[in-house]
Amino acid sequence: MRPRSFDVSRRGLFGSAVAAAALGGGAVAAFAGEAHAAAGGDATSAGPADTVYPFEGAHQQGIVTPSQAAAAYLALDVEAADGAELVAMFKALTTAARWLTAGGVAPDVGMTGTSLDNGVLGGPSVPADGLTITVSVGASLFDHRYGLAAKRPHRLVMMPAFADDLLDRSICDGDLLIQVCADHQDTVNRALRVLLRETRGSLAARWRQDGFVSPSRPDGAPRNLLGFKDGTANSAVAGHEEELVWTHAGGSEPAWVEGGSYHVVRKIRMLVEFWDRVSVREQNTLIGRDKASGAPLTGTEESDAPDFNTEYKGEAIALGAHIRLAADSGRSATTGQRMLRRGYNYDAGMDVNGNLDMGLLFTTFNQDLERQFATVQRRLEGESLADYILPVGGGYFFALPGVRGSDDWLGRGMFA
Amino acid sequence: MGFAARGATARTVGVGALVAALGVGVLSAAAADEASGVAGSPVDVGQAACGNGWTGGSAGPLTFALSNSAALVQEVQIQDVASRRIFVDVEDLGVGAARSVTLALPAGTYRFLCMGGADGRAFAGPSWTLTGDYRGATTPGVLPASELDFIKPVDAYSAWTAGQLSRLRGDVSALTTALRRGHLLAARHAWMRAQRQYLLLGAAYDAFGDLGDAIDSPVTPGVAPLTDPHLTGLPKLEAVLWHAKPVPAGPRSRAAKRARARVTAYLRQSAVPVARRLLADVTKVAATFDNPVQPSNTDMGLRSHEILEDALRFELTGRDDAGAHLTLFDVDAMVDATRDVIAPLRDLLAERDPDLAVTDAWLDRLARYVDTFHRAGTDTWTPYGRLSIAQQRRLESILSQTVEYLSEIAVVLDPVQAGPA
Ligand code: HEM
Repeated sequence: MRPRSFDVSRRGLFGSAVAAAALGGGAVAAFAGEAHAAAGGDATSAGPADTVYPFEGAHQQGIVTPSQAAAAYLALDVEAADGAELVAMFKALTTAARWLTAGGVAPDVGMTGTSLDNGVLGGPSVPADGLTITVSVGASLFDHRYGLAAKRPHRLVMMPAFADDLLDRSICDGDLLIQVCADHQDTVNRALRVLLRETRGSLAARWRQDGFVSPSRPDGAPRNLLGFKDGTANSAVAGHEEELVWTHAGGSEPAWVEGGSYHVVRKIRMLVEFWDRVSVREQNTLIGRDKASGAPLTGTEESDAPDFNTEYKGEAIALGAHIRLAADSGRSATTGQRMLRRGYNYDAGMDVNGNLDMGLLFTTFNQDLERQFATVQRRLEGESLADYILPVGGGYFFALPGVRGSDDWLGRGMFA
Repeated sequence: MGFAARGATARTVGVGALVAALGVGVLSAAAADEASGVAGSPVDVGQAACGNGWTGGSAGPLTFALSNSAALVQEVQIQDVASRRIFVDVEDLGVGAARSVTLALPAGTYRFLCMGGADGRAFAGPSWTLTGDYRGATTPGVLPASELDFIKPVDAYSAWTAGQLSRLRGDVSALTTALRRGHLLAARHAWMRAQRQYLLLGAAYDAFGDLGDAIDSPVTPGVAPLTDPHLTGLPKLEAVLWHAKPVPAGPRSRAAKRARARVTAYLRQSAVPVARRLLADVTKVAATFDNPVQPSNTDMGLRSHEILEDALRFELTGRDDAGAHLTLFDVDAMVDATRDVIAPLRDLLAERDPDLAVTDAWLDRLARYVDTFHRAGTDTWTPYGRLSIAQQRRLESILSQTVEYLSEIAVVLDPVQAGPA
């Protein structure tokens, strides 16, 4: 293999301000900027209309990054012939992710090849558009093929089928998961195509699902396709990322996992036809929150903390309500079971019977997926809401630690 | 082992020079040239005025607004004077038209070349220099290939094709004989030889015109090949030959004899007329090919990846399967056909395609993987449909990585007009 340079830095050429100016004003960045400020983050806004998330850092973007409007989840299997090719694949992914997320044009190959860019975003003023590319690995990558067994993150196993699941294994698992998120669908499309093209011989697509996050209506957390505000309780995670989101070296974990996160994806279909035939009062009871405002049934505003006290029987959040079970009546705060949820709605057309195929790409980033996701999921077994939803796919992954400098690359720690 | 990472090469910064070169990207940005309305430092590229307006500057990113003041359509290049490498080729710049190109160049001495097409002269503008120590990535240059460079390869390829055609004629003739004798397995074997020989001609398809279609008619989607009235030539014979069931050798019973006789009669009736017509078509192609309808220069470059693009599109989807399920056998032949197209281009590529060795390695890898589905020394290939999903994905992955690299050949060998001596 030819020596490759990984410091394809091209920001100096066309300032992102130019890109932003060329795009004209827009509301997107204002929203993203606001949301981001709330999360106390590190985005640099290049102008009124463009958001750039720095590619390098202790952690990957796309985890605590405020949810962008559009996403693609792509699970792949590694076809690399040996460890050296596997490393080259991670380097190629890093290089492409680096220039894609920075905004601006693709590296110029002049007349020596076809353009690296597919032109979906035009040029030369290409916005970063809030693009994040998050690369995670699945348990199967740590099998016999590449000699990585000893490097497997301690909690990373194949996702089991839970009691209420009806998993189609062809849309589960994968050696790798690439989560691409951006402020617009076209940016996701362009990035996905570039990433696949850069890794054709070493990755084979396994399953894919695109998703979207709705605008907040009229305010607060955006709604899922059951019509409920979703993500409200994430405010209880903010500021506790070190204990709830990021994995740390030491104990039973290998050293290289520092700054990563367990990445759980569950493709959960919603039986929306059925759901729409249920009264809002009943829906409120099933969730434990008021559909219109998002307030817990024991409060008046979305931001009010739910009161799980069972003394006031009539008004209390029902024993089987989703949030009561999920929050373990509030005790999860003390047991470290709280989790950062970062779901996307999906709409995949119709099934063969003419029913709508849509739902939630439930996504959570955990420090310890057994202590957090799996524990809560088991508690949700048989919940009343289960009649209206059906987990069909997804997988357990581990989001790699961030790329920490211009000569670092995704996954390097695994090979050290 | 070479591998993916096309974007991870020493290729670099720069803004859409290729896009501009292909004439599809009229750029617009902040610093537009007042006169032409497009971005960049204004440069006149009209024939004798070639290069007026630009006298050099700092190494690094550059944007030029090229405008054509001549009364002829122009082809414009930026050339490194010493190495003769070019960095940009703007074709078909119309009379009075302006176009913006952007690239990044290291310190050095360059000039514009302005060519007026068939009726016009090639002018070289005055040399200009770029100075300073620019550390960023730069636009890679290429040694342009001109029409002249292709005379030898095209001649070599045409001669090779003529030889292959006469072999194909021999193979089809042997196939006809086997069919007349009514020996099913011998006929299938002969068909496979002819099919492989035909696939090896990959690059020359277009050169055969309607006869090519008669020899290898497309399989109509959704129609049973056996009863498809439009099927002719090799696919038609495939449908017939793999519809018939071989009678196990050995038993001398009267029933077995009768079964063999039935197969013989079927082949004589359904296959022999098709084979005769095929032989006539192949004979005609072989006879007229010497009076060459040569593959054009760009054809050879394009065919370098199009043969295997066809494999992705028609073989791995089963669309070209008329009953033999010999997908992998076909792909194997198509790899060799690709190597045969590249062979006469090697000298040109050695100087121009930085990924030539990697491309070869992927072709080898593809052939090796395909061969794992062949029982050596036999006509037995695993039907594509019996590959596991994982195997199908691996094949797709290797094949598509191979065409990624092959596709660079057409670009580096796209002939541009040669500048003045
Ligand atoms: C389609 C399936 C699901 C739907 C429609 C859904 C819906 C909701 C809604 C509307 C809320 C309240 C608003 C909020 O705090 O975000 C909520 C909260 C929550 N959900 Fe889900 N959820 C689903 C699946 C899951 C799964 C699979 C888990 C984890 C195993 C989960 C864990 C949680 C947690 C931890 C909370 C916060 C509870 C609290 O502390 O108040 N949910 N969910």
